[in-house]
Amino acid sequence: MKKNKVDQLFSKFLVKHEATPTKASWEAMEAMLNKAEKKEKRPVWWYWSAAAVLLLSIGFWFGQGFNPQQTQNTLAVVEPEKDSSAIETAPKAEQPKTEENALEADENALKQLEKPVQKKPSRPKKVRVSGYYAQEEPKQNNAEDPNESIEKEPEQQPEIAQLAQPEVMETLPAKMDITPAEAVDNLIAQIEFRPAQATEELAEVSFKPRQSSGKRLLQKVKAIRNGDASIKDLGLNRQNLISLVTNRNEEE
Amino acid sequence: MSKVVPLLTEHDLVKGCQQGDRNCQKQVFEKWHRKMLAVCQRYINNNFEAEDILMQAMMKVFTEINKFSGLGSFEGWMRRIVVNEALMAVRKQKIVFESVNQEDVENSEGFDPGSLQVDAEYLFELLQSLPTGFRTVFNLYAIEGYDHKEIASMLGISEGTSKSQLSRARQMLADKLTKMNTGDTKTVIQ
Repeated sequence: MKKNKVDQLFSKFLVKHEATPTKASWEAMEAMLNKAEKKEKRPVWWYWSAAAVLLLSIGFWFGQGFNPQQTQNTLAVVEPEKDSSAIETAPKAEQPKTEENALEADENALKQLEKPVQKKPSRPKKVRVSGYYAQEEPKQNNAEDPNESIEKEPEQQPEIAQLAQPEVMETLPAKMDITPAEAVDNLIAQIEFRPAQATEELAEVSFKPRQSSGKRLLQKVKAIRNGDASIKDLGLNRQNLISLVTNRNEEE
Repeated sequence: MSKVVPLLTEHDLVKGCQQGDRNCQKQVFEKWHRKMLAVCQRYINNNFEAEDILMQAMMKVFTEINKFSGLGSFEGWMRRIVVNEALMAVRKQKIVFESVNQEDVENSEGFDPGSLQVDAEYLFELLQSLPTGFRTVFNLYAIEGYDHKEIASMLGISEGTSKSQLSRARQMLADKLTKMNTGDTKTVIQ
């Protein structure tokens, strides 16, 4: 079809025609683009924060449900029952021991008693952590040389105290040479030696683990957010708590 | 000190925009916004409104640039978005398609632009002086290159209406150009 001459004239001139804007500018365009991108990002941000709040509140709910029980159990072990029997129970736990070793163990326990309190805040954790092993892996370490284990124990303790993640804890028994029963007894002895402080710590005990569980949960939520962990990992903590509580009950 | 700006091809620019690169978006905007504003102004007489439409259309270009297949010209794709945006604004104003009696439709075939001394600005003004209905159809058909079927569906009119509006628009434009050429020297632009 032959093109109309009027059409040709206009299209020839106007297709390439340009106009000068009075207010439209790249700066205005950029502002619009920035605004649009912010709007796009907001829902994602809200989604994550809402998820985090939800998970945290669930975590605290469980934390409140379990921690009082746990601290009560810890108290029951620590305070009334093993009173003054701490030193005697240590040799009992180690069956293949010579008298010499028993003496050394006792000495070590005594040394522990004499030690001044240096790390108040971490003590509740120690009780928990070593208690955890006492129940989870009670027999594995018994065969090991008590001499070596006893010497290493004081140095290892701070390390144990720092380990709050259950996953890490599970890897520990291989590294640790402490007899679990000893660890518990030593710690019991430590706490018992200072009755006044022990009660002071009780207040901390009831508070601290809850705080740390909250922190751990937060770390996990972050891990999940970064894609390093899955939701299932949250359940681990709860299971550990449950096993801790039930094992305690069985022991008593 | 002269700044060395790497010469980016149209393909590079589109790719950059697809990745949200501000520099590429800026180059695209600076390269085409004047042309696209002229497109808007052919459809919308109010210059301020035309600039608003331009901004909205460019925004759409950047947010939907991932839909650009890469086949065909990028400018053509952008122009379609701009035209579409302008048409949406035109339709809001409710275009009145003046009824055209068949007898009124004169033949503009005899028009010879050969000896005309015109420039784009003049033709642009001439086009803007047309009633909205004529102008819109003429724009779409003669300059943008849509056919009557497309125009009819774009504007929600019949193909017949589109055809008659086009004829009337051509006639009016030819008349004005002829008048300018034959006697009224004041309107001749040097």
